[in-house]
Amino acid sequence: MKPVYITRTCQIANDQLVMDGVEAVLDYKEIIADPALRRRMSRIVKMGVACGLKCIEELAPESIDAIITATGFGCLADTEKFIESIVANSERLLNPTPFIQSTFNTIGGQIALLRGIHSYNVTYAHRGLSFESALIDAAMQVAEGKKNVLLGAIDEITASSADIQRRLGMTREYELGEGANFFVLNATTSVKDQPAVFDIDTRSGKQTEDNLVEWIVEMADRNNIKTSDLWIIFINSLSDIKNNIKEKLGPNNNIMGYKSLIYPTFTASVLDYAINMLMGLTKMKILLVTEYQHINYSLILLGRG
Amino acid sequence: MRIAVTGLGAVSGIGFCVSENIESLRTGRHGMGKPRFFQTTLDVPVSEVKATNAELAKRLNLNAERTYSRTALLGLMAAREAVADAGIDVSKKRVGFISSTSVGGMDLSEVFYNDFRTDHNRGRLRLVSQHDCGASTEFIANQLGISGFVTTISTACSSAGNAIMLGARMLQHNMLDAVVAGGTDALCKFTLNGFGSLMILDKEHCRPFDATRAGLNLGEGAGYIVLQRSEDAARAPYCLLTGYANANDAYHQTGCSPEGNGAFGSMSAAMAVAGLQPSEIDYINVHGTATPNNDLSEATAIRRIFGDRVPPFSSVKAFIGHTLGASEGIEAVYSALSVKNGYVYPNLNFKSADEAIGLAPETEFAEGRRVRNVLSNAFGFGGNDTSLVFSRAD
Amino acid sequence: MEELIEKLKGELIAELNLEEVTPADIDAEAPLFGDGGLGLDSIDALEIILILERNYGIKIENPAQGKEIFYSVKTLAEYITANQKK
Repeated sequence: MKPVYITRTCQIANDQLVMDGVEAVLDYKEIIADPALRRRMSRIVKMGVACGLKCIEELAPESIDAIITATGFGCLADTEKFIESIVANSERLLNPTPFIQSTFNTIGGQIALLRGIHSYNVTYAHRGLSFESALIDAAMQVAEGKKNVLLGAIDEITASSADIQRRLGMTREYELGEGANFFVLNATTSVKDQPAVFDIDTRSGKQTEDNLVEWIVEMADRNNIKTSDLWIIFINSLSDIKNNIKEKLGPNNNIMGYKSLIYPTFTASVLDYAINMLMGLTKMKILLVTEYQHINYSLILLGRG
Repeated sequence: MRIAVTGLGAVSGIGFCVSENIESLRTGRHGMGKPRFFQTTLDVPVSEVKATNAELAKRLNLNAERTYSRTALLGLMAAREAVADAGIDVSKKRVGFISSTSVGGMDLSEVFYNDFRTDHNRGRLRLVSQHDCGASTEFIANQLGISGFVTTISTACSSAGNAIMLGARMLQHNMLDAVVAGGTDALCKFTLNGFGSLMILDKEHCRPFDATRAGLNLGEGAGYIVLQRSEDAARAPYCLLTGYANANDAYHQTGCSPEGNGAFGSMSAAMAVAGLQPSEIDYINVHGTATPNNDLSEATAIRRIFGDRVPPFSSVKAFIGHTLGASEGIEAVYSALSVKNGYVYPNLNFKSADEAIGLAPETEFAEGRRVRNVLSNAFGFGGNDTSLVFSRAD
Repeated sequence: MEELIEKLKGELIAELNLEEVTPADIDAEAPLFGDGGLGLDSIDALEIILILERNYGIKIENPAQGKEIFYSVKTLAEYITANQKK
């Protein structure tokens, strides 16, 4: 795969907006100027739309060739609101707004609507690989010659979803999280040492330590990199087995664990973190090794172009 | 590179497999009726797959005692047919599964919520653990034995069109050697009431493109096609997938622009990818939901492209209903067979032309027509418009 | 009629979630939809249909029917006065 340069990053989490690693003012009214659309937005939609809009702030709508979003759970609050109204009102006299907003592609669609962007617009909703799938599509779009591909991930946590995930045992070791992360991707950049994604791969189904080692070596080989030249970051539960893997990979590895909050698209926030970390690493490449629910795994190779 | 369509699978209100679907289209047998397999107080026609979940599980040789979302069952039925039809070895690493759904396991989540809403410690977890869109996809992939790239797209009613488009692009990029792509959606209270709240459900049997059309009917089902590079195909392909495009109307969250800008964009771009002129399209499988807004906007876009030489077109929605995330999966199957056998499908319930539209769809089943290229549309909320082009393999 | 108009303004602000709009900001005779007035759209029309049915017992089956009735707060009040059952 050809390098995909990340020319802009934007994150909204804990009511904080961070652009290219720098904190900025988060004023929803200013960012989402159209009150007609803003007034119908639930928290996740506001968060996602505002994050996406900030990421493409100074870009002309016709210069954005694709909007690709990812969400594991979608707009949970709107979904629950509509189900609740179905039950409470016995399927009569239902407000349409939460139904409309509950659609998985609502955030990508509203960014397009607010900015008048008529290009490719797709949403991935595949558990812990939602963001990875979107990144693969985005990388293909860039390789197909598209410019300024807007890639984003959004998930929210609600009281109900937290209770359900607690009952499902998903919170035993980690804290549940949420957030919005957007990126602008391009095939070229005028900036020296711009962060770039060099490779990405996904797997479904439980991976053993040996599977992971083999997979990491395979990715390093196909990118002509020695594993010893990589900073390898093991996310969440994988950080607990990082030392075993280090032993199997051989000496001199820069290996670290990173415990993130858990939610289906948390890889997007980890990517944002790794991009900031790259600023201090001129020569090295970073390999992210992610895991979600012991079902979804991904490898993302990034460095400076 | 030529992308061949080598396998087809479909289940809908008019049949459990592809041949049953085509037989119903041929004989004018639609799937509409009062809801029988899910509980609702809404008195509107729907096109249900005519079997309970237990019966579906039995047909699939699954343990009927277990809990499956209907979305997963329908999807497995169609995907399994497509895989067997193509004769591909799914255990190979570079075989992918790209599915789509608009609401995933919502049929079960609704049942869960009845207990959960008053007490968050109640409700069977098995009913809600399949809520997310990826759950049905992973279930189907596991059942089929696909361990390569697996993902789910959810862009409302254009979802399956986008899944098929992604599959074609991953073959183009040499990331996969074969891909099963399409979509699945089961009827549930959530979507039926959702479309009800938008006041676009027709209480009568829907009438796409007719002057008296008053809204859509929902349906359920699943449809998948198998795509391979033509040199890798184990069998003679049905046709080629030559064009695909997604464009955004960017006009309104649910409605379509009067000029049909998004539809115009997706159809023109798909034809450009295929390298075709309007005169080379011999049939259009329109989105044609039968809402006043969709049909007029889509027709306007068609006229902008084809002028006064609009090719034969029709909507199958009066047969199978609007199957949302499954719609372009099922309709891609119909479109592939249109190219292969020269089929043109009847637009049921069309009686009188709408002056504002000024176009009349095909109303009789035809076969053996010269169909070089079929354009197939799927449009969704969020202005999400997708068009595919299927072309003769010879 | 004045009373009904004020009540309707409050209901529109609440049900349509019109942030930053006060009843005094709404000109009873100005168009509710499109540019120049409150800038409401077709989704709001569906919400207004629900206000009419829930709060005034008035049923509107076809959203297209609402066009003239929903022109302004005043036309809405006049329609309610003429058709109210409960």
